[in-house]
Amino acid sequence: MMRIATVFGLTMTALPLLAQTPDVIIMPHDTHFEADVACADCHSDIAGSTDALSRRLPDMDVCADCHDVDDEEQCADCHTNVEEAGDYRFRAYGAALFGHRAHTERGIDCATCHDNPAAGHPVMPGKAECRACHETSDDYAGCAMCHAPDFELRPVDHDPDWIHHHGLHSRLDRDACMRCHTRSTCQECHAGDNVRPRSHDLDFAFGHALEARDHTSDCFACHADPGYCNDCHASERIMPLNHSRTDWLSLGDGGRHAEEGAFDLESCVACHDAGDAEPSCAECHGR
Amino acid sequence: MLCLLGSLAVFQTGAVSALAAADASDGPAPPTSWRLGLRSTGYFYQLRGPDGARDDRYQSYQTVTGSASGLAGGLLTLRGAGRYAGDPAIVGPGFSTSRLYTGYLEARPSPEFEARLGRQYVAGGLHGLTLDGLRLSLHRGSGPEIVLWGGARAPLGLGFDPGDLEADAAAGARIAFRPGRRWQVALTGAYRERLGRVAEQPVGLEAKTTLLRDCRLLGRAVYDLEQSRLAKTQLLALWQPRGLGTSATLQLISRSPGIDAASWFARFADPGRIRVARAAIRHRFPSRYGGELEIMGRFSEERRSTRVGAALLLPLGRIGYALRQGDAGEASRLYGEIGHRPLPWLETDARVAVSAYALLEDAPADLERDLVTMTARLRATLRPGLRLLAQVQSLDNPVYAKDVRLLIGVDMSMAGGATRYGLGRGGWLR
Repeated sequence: MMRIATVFGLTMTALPLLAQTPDVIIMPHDTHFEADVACADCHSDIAGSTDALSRRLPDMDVCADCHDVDDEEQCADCHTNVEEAGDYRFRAYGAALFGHRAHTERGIDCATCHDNPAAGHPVMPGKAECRACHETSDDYAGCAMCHAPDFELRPVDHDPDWIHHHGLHSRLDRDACMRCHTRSTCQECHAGDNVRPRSHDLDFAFGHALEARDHTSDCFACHADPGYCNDCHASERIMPLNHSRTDWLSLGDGGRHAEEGAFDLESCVACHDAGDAEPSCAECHGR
Repeated sequence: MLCLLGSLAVFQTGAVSALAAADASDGPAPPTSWRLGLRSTGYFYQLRGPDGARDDRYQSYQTVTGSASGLAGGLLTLRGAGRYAGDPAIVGPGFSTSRLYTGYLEARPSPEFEARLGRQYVAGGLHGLTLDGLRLSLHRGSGPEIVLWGGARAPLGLGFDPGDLEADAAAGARIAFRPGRRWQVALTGAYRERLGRVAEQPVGLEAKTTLLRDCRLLGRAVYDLEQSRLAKTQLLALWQPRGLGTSATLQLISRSPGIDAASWFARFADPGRIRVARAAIRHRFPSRYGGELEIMGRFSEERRSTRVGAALLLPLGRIGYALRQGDAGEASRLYGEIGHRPLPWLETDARVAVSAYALLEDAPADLERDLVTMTARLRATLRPGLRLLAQVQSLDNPVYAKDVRLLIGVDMSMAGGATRYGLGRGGWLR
């Protein structure tokens, strides 16, 4: 009895909520295309629109050209909530400055961006469709052609400290990055000169010995030359601290350097690889 | 500074003349589009040694990027990026004042097929490389994506000389396909020579999946045929449930040292594998306050190095502390950073880090070093295509009693016919 009462109560509570579901207009594009209705028949003057803020959706008068809108029995054919039937709800579009006219004037047809307008529900173009042509928008200035100046282009997850963990995200979902960025955007930071914005922290020159031991393969991504380290270390006469240990090099078991080399040979190669010539190591280790 | 002003003047003159030309051609759509970007950076150092001696240094960097697309009736695109650095402080065989990062001609006869000829970065082999050569890619709809590339590795200084095909030949292939809606699989293979000898022949398998709810996974394994060993295995995971403000990441790597078969050091057979594990979890409340924890360990046989860090996330930045211990050395670091955009066209950020470190484990007191870094940066977008950067930084470091650096930079970009259809103008010309 208690269960029945609960179900009854919930149902009575939910019914008014269901009745208040906002009206959605059903507009099967494929049916209209089969009836030879052109895009511009409903989206009047779409070809001449110069921004995305003006409504280009048909009102009831346009529907009345073909449909008997006074026949109440047909209301449910298009409206999901006949009691609360209304116009198309206009959703704000991020690219407020986008204009169809600039495209149609150059002979770009609807299908170029909307995939198949004759499908049941045509595709609203996303960034990928835009970038298929707007490929030179390498910076935000190019995006400003369509996005208003007050539109926040930066995604919400791009926190102030996004730079510290963007690398892993980009490896997992590069496509997401490429919706806005191009390869040249990456290169602005990963250009190798480390001037601005920098790939490494400001104090990297002093603490990089620690970092380099953890991420040697990451270092190689940019500093591919094994002698890269040597250029500074030799000219500035900076040697690794462990080389100054008294037991660094000893006959017999090789001393500390043999032990270090076994565990971290990459560090040896970074400085001692001599390209065409044999390294100093060859003097003892043979040729 | 003269160099900086000179480039500004030249660029501005070019912009004005290009603007005039573009106005004159209004009406019919221009057949091509182009973009030109110039980054001028002046970098001033003032260093004061322990003995009070002052050392003033100046560096300048001029970086140019450009592209012209829609050439030959929309078939061809030309891209390039290079840099000139006037850098009297660093002179050495590995440093060149001029660099060509990329410079290639791209042909796209159909939306599915693309060919690039020239200098370009390719993510092939055990590590990516800059290639002087040809790259072909074919990707038809939801079908497999096939990429082939071949040529010579570019000179390591990225100078303007082409790569040596006889000494540094490189080639590779990648086939990626989607066996299911939530899966992406790729097979890779590469061949690279160094100094005329075979350096590596890695073959790899990579899989990405979103099979688990709110989780992205990537697994990768690479086997080097030349050295007959598993060169690298990797697992990446990102868990990011929608709407919770939480994210967790995990990265596991096991690899052999990056020593190719052409190196003299390859004779030391079977060096110890290196294993790296990183894990981090972050949470931000709707108020934008939050926290993050990070742990990273690097292991090589019984050697280890571990870093643990925690940070308090603030609406505009974070405050954190990190501690490292292990065979590689010891370090502790207290840091804070803040970033704020008070106006839509103005970005500011600042950072302070106080560190103490030693490059040896259990180092004696005289080998422990203190390092304090402070930075303040301001970036202003004066108008589309024109940005100004000013940065001041101070380092209290072990080598110099005082190290103050000032950076001033100007970024300018302009474009005409910002698409291949010639829609409008972008950047400086808007």
